[in-house]
Amino acid sequence: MSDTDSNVIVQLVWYSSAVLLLMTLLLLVLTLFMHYERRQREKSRQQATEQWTPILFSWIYSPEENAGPLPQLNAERFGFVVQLWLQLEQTVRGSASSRLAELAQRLKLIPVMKQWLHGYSTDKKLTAIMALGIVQEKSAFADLIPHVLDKRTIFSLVAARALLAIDPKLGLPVILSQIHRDDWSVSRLAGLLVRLPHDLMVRSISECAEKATAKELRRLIKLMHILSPIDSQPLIQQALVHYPEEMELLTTAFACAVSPDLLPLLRQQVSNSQWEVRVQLAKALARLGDSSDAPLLVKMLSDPNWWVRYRSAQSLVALPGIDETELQLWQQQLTDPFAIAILSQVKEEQQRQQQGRT
Amino acid sequence: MANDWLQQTIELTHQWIQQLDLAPWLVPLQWLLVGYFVCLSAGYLILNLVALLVMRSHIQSARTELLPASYASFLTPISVLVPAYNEQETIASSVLSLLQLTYPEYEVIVINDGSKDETLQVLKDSFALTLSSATCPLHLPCQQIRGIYQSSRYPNLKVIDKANGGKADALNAGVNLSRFPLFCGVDADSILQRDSLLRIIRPFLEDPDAIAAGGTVRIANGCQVKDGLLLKAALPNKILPQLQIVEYLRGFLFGRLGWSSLNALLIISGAFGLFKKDLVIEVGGYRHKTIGEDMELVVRMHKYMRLNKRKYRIYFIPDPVCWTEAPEDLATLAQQRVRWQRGLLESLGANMSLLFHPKSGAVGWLAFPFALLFEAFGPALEVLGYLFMLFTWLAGWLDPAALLAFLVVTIGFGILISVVALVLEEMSYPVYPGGRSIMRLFLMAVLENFGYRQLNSWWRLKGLWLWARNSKSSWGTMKRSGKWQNSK
Repeated sequence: MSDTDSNVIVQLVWYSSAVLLLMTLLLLVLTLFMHYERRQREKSRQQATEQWTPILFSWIYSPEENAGPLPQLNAERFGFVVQLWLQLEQTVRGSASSRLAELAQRLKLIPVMKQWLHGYSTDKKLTAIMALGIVQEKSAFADLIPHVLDKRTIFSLVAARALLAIDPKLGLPVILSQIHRDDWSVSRLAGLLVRLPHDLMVRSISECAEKATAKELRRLIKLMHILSPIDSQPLIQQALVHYPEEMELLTTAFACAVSPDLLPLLRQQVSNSQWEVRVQLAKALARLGDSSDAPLLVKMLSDPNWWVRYRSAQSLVALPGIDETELQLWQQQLTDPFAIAILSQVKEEQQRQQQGRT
Repeated sequence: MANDWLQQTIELTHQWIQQLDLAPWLVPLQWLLVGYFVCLSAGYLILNLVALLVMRSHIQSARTELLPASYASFLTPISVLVPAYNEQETIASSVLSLLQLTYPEYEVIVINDGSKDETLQVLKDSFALTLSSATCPLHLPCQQIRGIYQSSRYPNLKVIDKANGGKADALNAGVNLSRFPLFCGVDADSILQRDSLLRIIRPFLEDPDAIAAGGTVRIANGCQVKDGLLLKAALPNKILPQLQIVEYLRGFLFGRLGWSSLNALLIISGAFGLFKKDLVIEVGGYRHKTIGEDMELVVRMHKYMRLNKRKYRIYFIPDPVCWTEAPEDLATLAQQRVRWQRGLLESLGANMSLLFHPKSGAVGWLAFPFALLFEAFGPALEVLGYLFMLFTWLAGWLDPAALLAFLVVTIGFGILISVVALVLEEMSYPVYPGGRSIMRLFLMAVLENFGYRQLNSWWRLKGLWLWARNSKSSWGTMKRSGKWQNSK
């Protein structure tokens, strides 16, 4: 490389340094300016909170004093006020809630929320879904349905709540059509449905169960069991009749069975090929059965699976109407060494527990 | 006298070098080093630009910083896992801060990894632990569990006491005991903000394909902390932690944010990261016998998902979610940096098949080669650059004007990217109050180029050397002052 080339490169490096220095200084000034801007924004937020918190409370307690015009709101402050309004809405009930809804009308909240619903900001969308649900805006019902189908759990659940608030009769079938979703925990769903009219809830779930797959039926049984255990019994019956080989469904059905009317159907599963089902059967018999189920449980003491034998022995010991004498008679008749061993083990465990208690 | 001696030494070295006839090697080496600097600068510039764009959209889509409380009942429950080894000084306040997080449903599982100090006893005394009869499934392999404890004061606090097996082993034990679908690994010496979980959950709410998310770790030195909670952020008085603040801002705000937007983020800090439990179990959990278990897991998750053509996304959020104590003395800092460098090399080495794999996308074709060339082997080239300059100066081949020009441009670029990090901080979630803090950090961005940066290169080279020699890895002992805890 010649000296001239080197000099040119060095010159270029110096120019680059100068550009870097200039950019650095500009960015530093920009940082300081942004710092100042942020402080101004924080002040504005603080002022909005201070100005609007009393107005919101005054709307709840003495709406007649608020006939006059409301303070002007720019876009930034509008966002703060909507958040304040939502936060307050979550803490009030009854007439206070209605008054806040009136305030929403005065603020022309609904058209803005509809715009936010179709925007890109996650927070604005969620805020819009919630707000439209709270004010029970019927015209937004159709726009909210796609959000119930959203793959994102929070969107779907918040939208589900809004639909139920706007029109439970139309909303519930939409929500139940998503019963297959694993990200919707059954207990949360039950939390959403718990305030609905009992008849509507039972009728909708039962209708949904008629066309349900095994997986959907299992979730529907769990849901109905939480909301109204006795109304889940027809669904369990349906599961036992239509899906005798679906292990997860049957185990759920046995666990949720509360009616002795189901016993004839349950007993038929004694020779089910899946041990998990037989384990649940043994447990269900202890809960629902009587002394007439003792021979069945004795037979299950010889099951090839240890868990079935163990649970059957526990159920036999706990079966209503079977006293110690009767249990000994059954024990004497046993010939299978596995059955003898497991019953002895469970009886010993029971004795130890009783001694522990005394 | 000393000057004469120096002059003579330089003269002799000059003559000796002239005799070596190294000229044919010097030009290619010079271009190699210049090429390295240009590529590194270009890479950082692109990452900066991407980070600036991503930050803008992040701020727009998350203008309200927190989700309204009314969504709380729909948030996925989280298991917070805290591996602890010899943490008796800080464990009680750390756990206390974790128990005060704002989140609707979560559990805290502390894993005492065979500590030799009183960590377990401190936990027992502070949280009224009783031995529980609970068992946990062995989804992931881990050392023998000696006992599971339940706090009688806090229903959502459990402690696992297990034989020592390293941090990865401890985290695997925690995953086994955890009940919830998401778990968050947290370092025992770090503290979270009250709303940390609410912030970190956001990617999982917005994207069903999210499998992991990490947040920004900030330095707690100088901050006011009481009962494990951050009261007020402030800059520390000592220079070493201040220099590390600039480093952390740079590393987190443009490094990770830039890669995250390409779905090629290779690391989620072990100090705070949220993961989908099922998937972590599916990929085999944390790998034992590695220092950088946090990075290794993320790289392995990328590999697993990319090679199996599964849709996924690993997120980084710029929100400050976790605070940690930075070393205040050079010895501890050196130890930490050597460990980090080895962790990086181990993680990349264990997943080398990802490099330029046809299915590996931006991870295998951009992030992995970048990390390998500029972060893993970068220190060797940097030290080589310094030696080259010294050598050519001693040989009398270096024009002082050229040397000065190159030094100014290198340092200038270093300062520029630090200032971009300050801009990103101001754009996102600034924590240090007042314009004076910005000026102090700017001063550190200038100062770090004179000694600190070179020391870092040296420590990282040492880490590279130790990795190449395959010497035994361990938890490592960090000297902690813990002064920031319960400071007034």
